[in-house]
Amino acid sequence: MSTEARIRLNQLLSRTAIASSTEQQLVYVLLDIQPEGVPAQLPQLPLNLCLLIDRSSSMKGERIAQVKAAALRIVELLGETDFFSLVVFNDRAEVLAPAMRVINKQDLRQIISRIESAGGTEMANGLAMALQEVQRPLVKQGVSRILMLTDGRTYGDEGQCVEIARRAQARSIGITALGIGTEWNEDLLETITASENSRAQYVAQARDVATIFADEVQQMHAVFAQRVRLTVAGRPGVLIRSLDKVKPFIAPVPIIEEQDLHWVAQLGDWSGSESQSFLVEVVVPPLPIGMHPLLKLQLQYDLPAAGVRDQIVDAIVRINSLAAEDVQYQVEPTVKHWLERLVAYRLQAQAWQKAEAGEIAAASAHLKMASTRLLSAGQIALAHMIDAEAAQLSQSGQASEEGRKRIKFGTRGLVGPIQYRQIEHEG
Amino acid sequence: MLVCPFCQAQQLDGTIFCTVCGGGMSDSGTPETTRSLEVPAPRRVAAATGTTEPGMNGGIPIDLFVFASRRRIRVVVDDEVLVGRSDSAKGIFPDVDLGPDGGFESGVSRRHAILAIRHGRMTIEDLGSSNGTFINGRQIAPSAVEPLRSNDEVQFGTLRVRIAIESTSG
Repeated sequence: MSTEARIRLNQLLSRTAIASSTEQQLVYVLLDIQPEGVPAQLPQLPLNLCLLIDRSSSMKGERIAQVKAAALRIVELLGETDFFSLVVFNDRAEVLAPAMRVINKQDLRQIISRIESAGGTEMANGLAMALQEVQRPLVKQGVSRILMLTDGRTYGDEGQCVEIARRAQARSIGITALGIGTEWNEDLLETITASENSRAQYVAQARDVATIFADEVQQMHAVFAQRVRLTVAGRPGVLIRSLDKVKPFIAPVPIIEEQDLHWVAQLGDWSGSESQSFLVEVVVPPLPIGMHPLLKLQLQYDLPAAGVRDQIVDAIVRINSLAAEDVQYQVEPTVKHWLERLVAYRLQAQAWQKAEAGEIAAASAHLKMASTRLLSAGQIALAHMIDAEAAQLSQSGQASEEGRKRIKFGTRGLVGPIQYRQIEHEG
Repeated sequence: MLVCPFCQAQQLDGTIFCTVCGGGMSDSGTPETTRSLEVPAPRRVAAATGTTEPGMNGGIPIDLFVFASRRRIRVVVDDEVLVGRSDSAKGIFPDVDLGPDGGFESGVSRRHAILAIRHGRMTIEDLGSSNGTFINGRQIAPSAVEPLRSNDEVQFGTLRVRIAIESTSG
């Protein structure tokens, strides 16, 4: 890969001009980050993938059949420079294929075809063994990931699961956790994957597994930038209230004020086929009339295939402060659209907290407002589903297991296959 | 400081949605409510809704979400749907009447535009309206048939409407 490949940083403000005021004001900045000049045929980084499969008895039938077919698909997509391992778990964990280069595909196919479902779900042992396998090969440069699929609830070892996951993530091993059916513990899977390069996803239909597995391998193969991190320097008085990824799916991103007026966020690996957008909430201090630099943004990243580290792209966010009578209060519609979806996601998260605390009326009100937000953002089907679930919650005091998962992952755009190349104005 | 019209929480100037209850802080003088889901559909539409599934009988359900009034208008587009502003004196009764949404003040013509399905695609055609039709901020030429996609923002004069086209996949 030539060093022509780079990342482009575009910005869009909720308002380009604010009224000069003696009070703090809020401005939303949408950052659209796109890979540029990435050759269509990337020299692929070696992958190191561990597939971790729940083979408990509840997986019997279509689920295990689809998972086996999807695993076979992964084997087809991997090349001889890639490493693959397979770990299954029920009451105990077992390494079916230790980490090795994908040279003898026939052996792997046979191993996969022999997987049978039985027993319970004990996740921590499985995770620990998967981590062991991913760490086995000595890959100097590459993309390492544990791809886990479960349909059940693990009991008593949740804390251990999170601990193992954090250990993996600290060593740059990403985790994708897929939940299938309605029995799995979405809170646990969300906690396990609350880190860069990790995510949980809801497999609403077993037949989607193959697509999701294949997408995962393709995204890993398309990684062109690693250790992407965003630093934000603010003018005195500025406060960064939050940073959230909104595209291709919604995920809060921790942003830390490392020094005074100097924030840092880790964004992880970047696929060349993916454009990402982030929404930043910025508290602006009182400003005199005039054009002012507000934030200095810096994106740092490595281009492993080109052997280049610490590439930098800079941008300045400026804001125009005008006399109050000259300000036209108009919200940028694209910023508003993504904010509206983000707010819906936040509202449903608050709703579940309220429901947990027994505040059913408040929980239902939050869900209803989430539904209103999504309706106005054009997500009609999801809006109606949430509205119905809000009604059920206020009547029975409980939301359905499936509804909860559909809302939690639906508001984030994480039900079924992900639209990595989302077209802005498509239904 | 702003005060949320729904929950009275104090919010910073510039806040678009209340951080406490998620309600809209601005963009409209009319406070929105969650009842916007239950807004009754207009006459012609009421008959069609609920009986027509997407793709059946060639009809496609589409939602028009009017920003200013927070009204959602559902219409099933089977042949041509006239969007405009009713005027009983002139005998004009459009299928989608934007009169109640401040259509007159916003420069919506009586016969403003036509929504239709052409070759299986949702389209819009400006009928030579006085103040024009815009898709995502771009003005379309009068009498030119333009494709319309879900999430498009259409402006009739200055009245902004978001379009949601229901797909079978949901």
